Amino acid sequence: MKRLLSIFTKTHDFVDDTLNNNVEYTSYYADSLKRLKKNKAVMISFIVIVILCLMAILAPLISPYDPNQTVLEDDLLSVSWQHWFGTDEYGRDILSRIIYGTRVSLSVGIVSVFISTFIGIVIGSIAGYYGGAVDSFLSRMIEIFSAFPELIFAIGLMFVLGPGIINLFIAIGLIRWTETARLIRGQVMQIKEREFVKGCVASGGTDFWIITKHILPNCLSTIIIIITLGIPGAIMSEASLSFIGLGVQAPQASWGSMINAAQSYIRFNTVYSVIPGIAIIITVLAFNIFGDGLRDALDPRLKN
Amino acid sequence: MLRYTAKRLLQTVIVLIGITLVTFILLNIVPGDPVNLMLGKISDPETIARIRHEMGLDRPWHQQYIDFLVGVIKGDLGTSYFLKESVVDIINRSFIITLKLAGFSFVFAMALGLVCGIVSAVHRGKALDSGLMTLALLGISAPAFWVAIILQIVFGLKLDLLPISGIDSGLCYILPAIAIGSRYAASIARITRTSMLDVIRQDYIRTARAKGLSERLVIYKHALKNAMIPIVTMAGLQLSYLLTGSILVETVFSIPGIGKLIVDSMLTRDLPLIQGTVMYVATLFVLINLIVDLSYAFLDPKIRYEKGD
Amino acid sequence: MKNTKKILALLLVFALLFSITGCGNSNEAASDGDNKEKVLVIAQEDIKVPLDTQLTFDSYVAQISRLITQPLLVYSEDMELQPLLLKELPKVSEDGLTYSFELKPDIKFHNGEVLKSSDVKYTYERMLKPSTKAVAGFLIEDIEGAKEIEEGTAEELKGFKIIDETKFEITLSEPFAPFLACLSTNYLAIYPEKACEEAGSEWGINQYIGTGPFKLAKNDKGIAMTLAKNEEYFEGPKNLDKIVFKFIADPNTAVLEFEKGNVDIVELQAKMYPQYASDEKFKSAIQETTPLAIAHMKLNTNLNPAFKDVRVRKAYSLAIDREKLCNTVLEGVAEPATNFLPKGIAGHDETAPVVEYDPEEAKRLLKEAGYENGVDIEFWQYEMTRFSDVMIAIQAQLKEVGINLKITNVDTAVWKDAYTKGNVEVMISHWFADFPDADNFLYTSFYSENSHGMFKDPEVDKLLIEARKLEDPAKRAELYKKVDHKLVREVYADVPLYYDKIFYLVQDRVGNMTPLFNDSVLHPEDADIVTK
Repeated sequence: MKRLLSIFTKTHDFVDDTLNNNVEYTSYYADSLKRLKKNKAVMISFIVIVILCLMAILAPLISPYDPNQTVLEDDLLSVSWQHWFGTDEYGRDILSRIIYGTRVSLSVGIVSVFISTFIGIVIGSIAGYYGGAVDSFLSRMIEIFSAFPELIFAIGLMFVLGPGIINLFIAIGLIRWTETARLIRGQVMQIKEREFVKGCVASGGTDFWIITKHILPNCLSTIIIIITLGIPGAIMSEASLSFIGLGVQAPQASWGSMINAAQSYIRFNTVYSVIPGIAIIITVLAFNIFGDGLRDALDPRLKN
Repeated sequence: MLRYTAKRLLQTVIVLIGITLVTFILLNIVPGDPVNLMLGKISDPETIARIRHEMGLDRPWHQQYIDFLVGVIKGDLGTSYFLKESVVDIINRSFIITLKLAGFSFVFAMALGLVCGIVSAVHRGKALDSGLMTLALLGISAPAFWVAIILQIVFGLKLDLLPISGIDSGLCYILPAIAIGSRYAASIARITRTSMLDVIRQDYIRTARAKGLSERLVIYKHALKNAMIPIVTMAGLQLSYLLTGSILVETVFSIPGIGKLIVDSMLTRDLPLIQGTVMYVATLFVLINLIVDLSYAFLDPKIRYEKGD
Repeated sequence: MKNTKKILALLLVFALLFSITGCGNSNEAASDGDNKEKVLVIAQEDIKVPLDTQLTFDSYVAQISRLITQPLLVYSEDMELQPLLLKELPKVSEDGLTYSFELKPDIKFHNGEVLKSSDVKYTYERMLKPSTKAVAGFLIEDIEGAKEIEEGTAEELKGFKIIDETKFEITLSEPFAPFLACLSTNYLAIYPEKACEEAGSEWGINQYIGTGPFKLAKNDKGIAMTLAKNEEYFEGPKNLDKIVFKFIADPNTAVLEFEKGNVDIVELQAKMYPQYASDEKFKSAIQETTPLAIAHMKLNTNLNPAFKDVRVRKAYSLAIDREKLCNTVLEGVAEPATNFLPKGIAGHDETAPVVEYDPEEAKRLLKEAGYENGVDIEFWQYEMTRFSDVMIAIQAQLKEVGINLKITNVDTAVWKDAYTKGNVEVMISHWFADFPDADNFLYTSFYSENSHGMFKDPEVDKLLIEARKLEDPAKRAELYKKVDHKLVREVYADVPLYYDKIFYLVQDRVGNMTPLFNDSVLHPEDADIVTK
């Protein structure tokens, strides 16, 4: 998330320019889309993301076995036609568990980023809009929470909440909002000084109305980028927590917990360790490339 | 500059107090009783109550928190419930191991990242560039703990070249350091390339080239020097990657560092130890951020400090 | 340019910061090469408490501690109680209340001090004092005056009478048959009063002194612990010069280190046994032992309304096919249970068959109890690795008769809290004997005050108390047999599952390591390093 920082100092300059020059929104986003379509890597990663989403949604239809069906006689089988990626220590089909694992990774990735973005927007816009004492208090809050090493905070929260996918949403959502809040705060502070916002204030618009109707729409491209670039980080956090045994409830399949379990059997079944890692890499990579592409498309000046 | 530093330091103290408070509250919500765990398989409520009283755990939490703060001021973080040693001693022991690990990964990642970034920038658009950048993207997307396991399988078991656990010798640090550093190296490579390209396009580089200076001199003497500011900032901001990475990679290589300490003390609800570890790590983070901010000011006097704080 | 210098300076600071913390601290694992010294390297999980056997039931502490400090008596391999620090077995008075002890003369602690009666008294008092926060006070609670010390109203143990330097008497408040068995546990190893008091909070951390065959040489906290031969051991020095306990948190990594030849002995988890047993390379390295232990499930008879009905509990027990469990998930690593008390404990019923499996009867009973549409049972699992595979299999078996076991994973601290408050419906556990007596199995789990509200039966209470006071071993065994039968086959408060084995991998170069003892820790004191 931190790497967004340097990018945004530039992004909102660009948004300012477009606004000042009265460029229409629609054509701005249409242009971005056009630029996006031209980038092959981005389109490929987009297709990968779509496939991953389909895998998650259609998991029961496409996975060859029930992911939690234990066949103890068939434990730790190696790669074969029956089991493309072999079986795990309980004789469960690894491919099926990988497919079901997509559900965990994507849902945690997306839901927790929405949670964190929501928290970030609320806190960031309140701090940026009201300024003064409210701002200093919220800024200290942001600083306190961003000084917590993410993973350690998440570990603590998972101990408080207990294992389970809902708790993963919450824990990861709660640790990742500070950067969003900081960025939104900065943007809101700038936009609020604009003529049209001042006009609204003068004509007696409520604060809530001004923030949601006038200020936040101007932060839209920032928010889109925050969300797309936040997903891979959240997926990684989920994998890390599951790896140390603080993720989903067993027997639910998660890539991180599969890597953890596979570690016991690296001597006998190497594929078991390798496959979930590759699944994580493909997913995170796709979101990273897509996010980068989207950022570049929304701000062409950043492209080299 | 001095006023700014003083202001930042004051803020840092406030932030640290906030962190301990949040940790304290969290630890008081988390279910589970250290005393009950301590007593092992045979525990009756009376004994639990007696020992809780003995340890002062039956007092209200705010009182315990104030005692903790007083202890911090005196430089005493208490005694671990389970290890019965001073928290400071225990943490120092593990912290040195983790710092060492993070240090090795830092050196590895910086070296690899800078070289790859520069090579990529110089060969911009060529196969080497896209190859290296694809690798970097892969590096950013691969979880450190998984890389650790793969390295363990390949170099530890299959090739039998390097140790797979412990910290008995310097060799033991090689695989974990690579695993932790790979992601960091990848982001250093990417920022180095971007930053170098930014600089290369500037006028004075064109001038230098036009003056007929050798390409090598242009790249290393003029371009790299100016490209360093964003790289250093990025490197500082992302130092947290190294620590987070260490926590996970330590478990793969059975290294008794901070990561193991945090998880173990959480499992046993060893409150003073958790509190102390969080304090240490958070202080390190805050200080790194402070140093990065100050050094940024130091590197680029144009930055003004009234803004944004 | 100015900037370059600043950047370089900054980088240098970073580099320095890390080089300060880098380098140094390399300790030799010394597993091969050195021929002069006989060093045995044992891999085990790190100990997370001080090396003080009074403070914990942790078997990893016991495994190390028992080589350094020793109790008054020990059990021999054939389960006979023998004097260790004593001249002979203590004499018991007619009323079974007073025991007379005499220490062997001239036994020395590692620091040269002679073992005296007062050290024994000190050790027992220390165990009872609340400030020690010791765990196993219950073992000597029956000594006269013990309760007063535990409650903080007395400092001295009234029932302990020092006669002279080597002779002392212990008086109990009421007869307690397994008393000597209790004294033989590692938890009651004798500490030297003076050294222990002087060490204070350092005891178990940098200081740990006893009468044992090995002494604590080096404590690399969290990394390894090195013991060195006690040349003045009262039974003569042992073969090994050093025993290194190398701490490897992950059991699988430990096994991989064994494969690389870096450790001599390592525990092999039961779930990994089939893989290694079928591997030519490891087959001959595997050694096994059957500890005095039982894997069982306790049913809470006072929480879930369904479980208040004995028919449902009976159905639960009948639904589990223990033979199948031991032929599939636990292939080759466990024997199906016939009783709650394992073989080797007086009171174990040799004639009993494997606990009954009858799914049809189970279904019938559930129907009779009004649960024909199934019954939901909540199960909290806390030690994931040991039982998860067994639980998955059991869950499937229960499902077939209509019992839906909902498994939730929680961490140990959470589980322990719920358990102490009597809030768990079913628990699965491994009970390892602290001392080889049925009392340690039944009284600790099923005496109503000790059952955490899970079980209460006046008749069982009466029998357990009676058995504690009985002198005659045969009569005691009969009583325990009766209680066992009642719990397992009448009131179905306990569901015994299996008796399992512990496996170790032992390198060829280690001699005299067989047979392994039947408690849950290694006994490497007589091992030797043999050069091939």
